[in-house]
Amino acid sequence: MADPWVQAAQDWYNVTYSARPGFETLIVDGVSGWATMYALTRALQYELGISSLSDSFGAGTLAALTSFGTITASNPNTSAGPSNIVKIAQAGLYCKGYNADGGDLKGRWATATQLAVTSLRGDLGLGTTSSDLTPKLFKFLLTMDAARLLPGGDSVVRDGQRSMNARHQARRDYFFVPADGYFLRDTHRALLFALQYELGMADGVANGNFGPGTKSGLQTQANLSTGSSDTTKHFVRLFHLALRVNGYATTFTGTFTSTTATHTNSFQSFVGLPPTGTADLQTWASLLVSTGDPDRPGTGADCVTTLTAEKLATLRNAGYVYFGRYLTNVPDYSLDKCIKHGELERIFASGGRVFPLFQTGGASISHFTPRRGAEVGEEAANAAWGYGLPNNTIIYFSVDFDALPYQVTDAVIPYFQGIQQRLQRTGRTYRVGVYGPRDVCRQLLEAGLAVSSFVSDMSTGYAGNLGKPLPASWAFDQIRTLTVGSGTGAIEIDKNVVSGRYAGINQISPTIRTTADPRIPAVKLDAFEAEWFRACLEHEDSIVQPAVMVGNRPNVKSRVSTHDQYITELATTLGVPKALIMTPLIWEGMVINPGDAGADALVAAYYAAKELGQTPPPGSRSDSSTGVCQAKAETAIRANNWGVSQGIVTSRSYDAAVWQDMWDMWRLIKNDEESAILMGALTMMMEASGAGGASRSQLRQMTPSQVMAMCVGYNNSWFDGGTPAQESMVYGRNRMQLYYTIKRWHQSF
Amino acid sequence: MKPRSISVVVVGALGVLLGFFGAAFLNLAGLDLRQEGLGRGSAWEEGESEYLVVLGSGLLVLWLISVGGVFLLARSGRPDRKVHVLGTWVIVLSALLVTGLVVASVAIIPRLYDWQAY
Repeated sequence: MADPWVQAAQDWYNVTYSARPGFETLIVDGVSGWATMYALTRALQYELGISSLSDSFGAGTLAALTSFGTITASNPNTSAGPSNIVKIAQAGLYCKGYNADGGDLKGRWATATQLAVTSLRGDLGLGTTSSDLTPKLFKFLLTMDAARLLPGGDSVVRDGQRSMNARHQARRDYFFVPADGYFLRDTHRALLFALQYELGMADGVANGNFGPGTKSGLQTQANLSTGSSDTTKHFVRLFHLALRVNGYATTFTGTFTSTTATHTNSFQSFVGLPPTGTADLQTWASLLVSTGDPDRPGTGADCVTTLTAEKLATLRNAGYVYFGRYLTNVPDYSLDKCIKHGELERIFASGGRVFPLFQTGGASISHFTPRRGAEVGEEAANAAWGYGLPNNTIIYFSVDFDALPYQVTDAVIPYFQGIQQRLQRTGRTYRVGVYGPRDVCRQLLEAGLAVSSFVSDMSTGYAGNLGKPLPASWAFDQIRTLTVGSGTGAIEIDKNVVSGRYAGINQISPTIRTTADPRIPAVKLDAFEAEWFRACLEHEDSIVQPAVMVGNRPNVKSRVSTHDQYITELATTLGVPKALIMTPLIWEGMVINPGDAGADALVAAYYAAKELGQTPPPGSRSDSSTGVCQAKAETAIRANNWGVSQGIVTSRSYDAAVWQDMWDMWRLIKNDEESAILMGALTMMMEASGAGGASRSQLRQMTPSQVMAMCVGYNNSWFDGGTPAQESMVYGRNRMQLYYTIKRWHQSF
Repeated sequence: MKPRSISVVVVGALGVLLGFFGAAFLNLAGLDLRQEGLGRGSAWEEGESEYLVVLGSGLLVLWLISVGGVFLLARSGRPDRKVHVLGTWVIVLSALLVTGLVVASVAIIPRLYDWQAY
């Protein structure tokens, strides 16, 4: 609603300043907002003779205003004429809701103006005996901070805000905090300053950070217990305030009562500290910063490093029991952080437990779309199934940035809804956990989209952590990065405090068959077809494709049925899962379109001319993706030669530099479906040994990341050098879902 | 219904079918109309996108010919108001449908080529 006093202030500003260089015209809407505050700040800077105008009321403005002096009845001298600086102060008072002079901007320190300042001072806790507008108070005036309790604000928090304002207003680095009852970033910082001042730190030493000096001071001066009371120092009051903002029903009083001890005890139990009921360093730390005391012991560790026998021994000997490990790598394999063959078994054998993590993005808001959420849910479920994680395992999905509440509502929640959609795809009931700042975890838990939280408390400056209590169902609290051990046993970890609400897993239920896959039973062909069709449809490049190429689905179904015996025998001979062979056969068959026929025609024209000894016609080409697995002749030649060199197949070698060999191979894979299937299988085997590094003996038990890397390589070979194109990485990630669909069905045959 | 009316409907329906495939192939080619102009997403196969653009455009030309065919059929021979009205409706419907499909295929239907790797 428009306020006529604010409107008058905006009008005055426009008339006085908008035509001057460095000023812009203010929208006259009668609403106090940052635009008006910035405009008044620039006007003040102008009046103080500052040439470089800025929206920020920084150190320069404060210094200039300090030189000008406190605004009082005698400064500035307005007997000769009105002062614009006084008018700016009056405008600021109107914007804060104080009656500076009945709506006028007379530029004189009128009685009404003095009463308004006195009222403001009283609201901020500075007493009602003065009407002086000090530079710091002027600075406060030109903010959107409120001096009165706001709806939803906490009166006890407001008591603390007013008390700190009153007690520390004279300190150099202390600036007035709002008295609105909300515990946000500024009040949190003020609380740390207040604590440092109580500890006796001088100006310039006190800095609002919870550093070694503060810790040391708290350890020696601020141990509180029942009966402690404030005399010259206000430790008990500040402790009460800290408890209050962590959700405990304390009042802002100076005596540590038995009730305080009870609350302290509850808080300590909740955050995983020994429940002593007294205020010690660790309790202060946990109340004031999200990490708490980062040096306190923790029994959890999450890491991107493989837990080899040596590294695991290091951690177990250091008391770590719970290990956070990643289900997959990112598609480009830039960080090889996934769980390796035998790693889970090794951890379990040592008495350790595992809580699985999933993160292939999530460090910025752009990752959080419903579609990506669904994909992530499916990837995580397949990976968890691939590792044999049991029912009810909680997988922690990352929100690895300082998501603001509206971003959580608009993007993160829909993303987690997407995760929920597909997380149960494998038939195993996995549950959703969230890794992120406190407030993000809380919102997702309240929305019913996560059952457990792994709190990223090392990001102490995040708005989502600052001044926010731990979420009620926190399971792991990440507090410090450190290196443990030495030599080959040395490992860098993030240390986690463990609440015990979720203990992770200590066994797996192996699902991956290590023997040859069977044929598809005739009675299950249709059900199997429905599943692989869905796995293709959900990852189409264009939703138009299945609508136009309606013949692809029956064609592929027919090929699967016709060649199943051949594929089964081939898989047995090669020692690979049938999914490895069928993934390219099914997918590539589903995306054939007239463009492929066109490309093939250009190749045929090229070699027709070659055979006649003529120059190939313009536009013709020497190679195209062709046949039922849509492979290029050059790729097939490389796979064939690799197979020959490995002793896997006994074929002649081809030379891609010789056009006759290229033509032979191209015709072979275009016209002979079994040859095309064989070359597709060899290509997949070769690529599995690329970035994924899967040996032949591992091909039936590849990790999910090896499967993904293999599929990426089918589209853009790892042996071509460099990082595969982004579309190839997505191709690999999507085909991995098809691979596991085929794999799961063959487990059931 | 008169044979001329049936011809009008059949040619019109055939034209819409050609237009549907024309629009669909433009989508498969990755054509994408955005504020900055007409772009094209990457295709798996070199030359595949260009081929589909040619094919889609060719089908749309055939659709235009079919519209012309409907016009001629409706106007040729003995004047018949009912056939004229029918022809006009078929042309309007065909234009609306195929234009809508083309716009949808290059500007509205989400192009899944816009992958998100992370």
